Amino acid sequence: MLGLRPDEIIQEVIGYHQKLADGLKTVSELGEIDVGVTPKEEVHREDKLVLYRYKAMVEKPEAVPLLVVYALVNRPYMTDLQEDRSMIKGLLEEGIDVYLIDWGYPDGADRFLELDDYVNRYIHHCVKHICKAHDLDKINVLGICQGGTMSTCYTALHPEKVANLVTMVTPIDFQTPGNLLSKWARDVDVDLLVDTVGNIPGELLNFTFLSMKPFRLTGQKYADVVNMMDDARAMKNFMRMEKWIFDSPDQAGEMFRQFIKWFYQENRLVKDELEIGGKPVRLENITMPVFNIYATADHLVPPDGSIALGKKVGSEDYTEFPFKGGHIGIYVSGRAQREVPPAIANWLKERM
Amino acid sequence: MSEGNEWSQAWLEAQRQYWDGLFDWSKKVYAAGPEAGGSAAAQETLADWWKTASAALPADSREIYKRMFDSSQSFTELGQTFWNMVRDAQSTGENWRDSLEESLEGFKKMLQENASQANDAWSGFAGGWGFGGDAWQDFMRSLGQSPVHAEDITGFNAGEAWNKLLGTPALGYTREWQEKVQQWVGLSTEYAKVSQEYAKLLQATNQQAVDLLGRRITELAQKGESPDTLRGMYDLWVDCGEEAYAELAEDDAYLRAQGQLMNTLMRLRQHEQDMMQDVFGVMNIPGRRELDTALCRLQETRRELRDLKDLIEDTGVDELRTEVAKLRAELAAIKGGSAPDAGQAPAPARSSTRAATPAKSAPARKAAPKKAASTTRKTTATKKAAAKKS
Repeated sequence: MLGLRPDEIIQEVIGYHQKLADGLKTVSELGEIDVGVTPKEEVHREDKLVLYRYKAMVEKPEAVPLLVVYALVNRPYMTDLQEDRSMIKGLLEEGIDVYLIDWGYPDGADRFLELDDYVNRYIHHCVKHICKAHDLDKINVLGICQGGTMSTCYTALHPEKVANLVTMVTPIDFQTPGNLLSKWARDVDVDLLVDTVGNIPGELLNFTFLSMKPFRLTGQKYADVVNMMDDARAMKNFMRMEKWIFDSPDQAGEMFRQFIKWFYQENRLVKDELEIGGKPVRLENITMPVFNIYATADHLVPPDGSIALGKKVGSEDYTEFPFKGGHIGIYVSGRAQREVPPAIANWLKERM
Repeated sequence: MSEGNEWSQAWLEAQRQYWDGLFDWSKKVYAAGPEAGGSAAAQETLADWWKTASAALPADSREIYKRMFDSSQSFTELGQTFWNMVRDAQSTGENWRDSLEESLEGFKKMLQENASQANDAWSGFAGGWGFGGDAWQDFMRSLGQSPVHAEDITGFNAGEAWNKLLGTPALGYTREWQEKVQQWVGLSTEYAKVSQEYAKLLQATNQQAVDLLGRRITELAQKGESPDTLRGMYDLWVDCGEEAYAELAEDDAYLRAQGQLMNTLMRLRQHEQDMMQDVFGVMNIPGRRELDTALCRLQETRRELRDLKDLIEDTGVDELRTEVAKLRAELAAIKGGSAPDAGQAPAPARSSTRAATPAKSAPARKAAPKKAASTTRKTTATKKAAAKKS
């Protein structure tokens, strides 16, 4: 028998709307939604790319800096969302000298940027800039999600420039059984799509990600928030996350075409069939130490797609770090703050 | 407090009073029973309230709050559905399962009706969750919204006769243009058809989700359990919706339909672009095609230029310049009769001095010490100054 009563249902609906209305005052007083909190300075710029160096938090940071390469999808401030949810801050506190690439927002003039431009020019120039500034031959690289895939390709092509490679929620094998995005990409004519619309609108990516779990991500999530609308701090945290989720840059058309075809549809990287700029990308060339962090409940990058890296790299010093959580929680959850930056820093320090 | 803030507070207070009044009204409406149509009326009034109240919010927050407001619609509608269900179940006593089944059938019918009246596939599927309309339309708009609405075309009989008509050869001076228009109608019709197939698959999932909900409620009842709040029931409904959708999302038929939807839409858009390009061509106005050609060539040139710069840098031209300057200084010193300092030993070329670094060891510092280069610069400057003095 149903445990619900008609009068209680009515009270619950009215109570729900009351909370929503009360929350209007909380929301109206939140002000601007600030993101990216840790002090940093611009050190290099090329086209729309900006390379930042974060201000050190210890007197004598580690000698070999770490370059963070984020995905082109969404914005990199996810790694430094707020004071108490910042992977960057965690790394700085551990004494790591941190640089980060901000890809900016591509527009129509960037439509013909290719994977070759991103890997062999943009990332390479940033690495060279840091090497020069620190008088080093090679540095440490941390790639996140799609940025991890690009960092892996970069490392395979320029192993002499990377001392240690860290990958985080990074797809390597794009056609594992749990990869829903890969299945969705299967029947899409990407050539036709890019030839028609040019750059791929951020809205397409937003819609794609939301439609992976439509009821939870567009209904239930907001119903949950109604219960915390009297808590200004919690609301501001929620607002920051929302801002990040919907802050989706357009994707340069050619880059998108190549990424979807070569990785999602043809799975070239893991098959040793990928070429970038006419040069073969072979994972066996990655002989330096590798630290591979993945999320055990990742619905965007299934764990088996990430850990495929271990079987392919040439390195004898390969370590995996499973984080119990999802693709987003790995940056912003309280446990992630306690576990992930120290794990990266300790692993790096043991090898510097 | 600034004047602006005072105004904002006053504005919010006014909204609050309006809201309180609205509650009193909605309580009366609900007391009469949601089945009397009060729920829909309340939603309309809430939407009106939102239009005015949202003006007080900062831009960032307004968008996000709107999403919460939209999602409240599904909670309210579910409240109405379960209000009816529970009331019927209570009145039938022992036969609550029959009553539940009947209510769920009604729920399915309602979802089907909503879907048939929806403007697009996603509004018909998940519109009740606050998802659909906006997200789908933003997505479609971003792809360059077509002037054709699939729903408008569904009235056409896209059967054999229609295809025959479209296949009629174009004649006369404007035959090329006629042919393009015929092709456009054909592509539009194809898109409408594919769009309908896609919508059907999504709608079927809603029906499966309701069946799943019925099974879950019965399973819980067999264990003597039941969600005892509307929120509990809402969560159960979300779980059922996600479960049914997850099955669909990996289904071959859905993958094909999704791909076809995107591909037919793109074919239609591309054809429209071609037609526009023709019009621009007649007026001698450059269009997207010319711009793309120019941008592609520009990108290629920039790429070559950067690669050349990299090549120059990587072959150690900077180091060679330093080396030449140093040698000149040494030559000048020899000509002047004084030997260069021992500390001025030529810095070896960068590429030839780098030690091969073992894979797991810390990266080596550059072999060419910077000190030597700076000493060279200093010496050169000193020599120049000396020459100036003499």
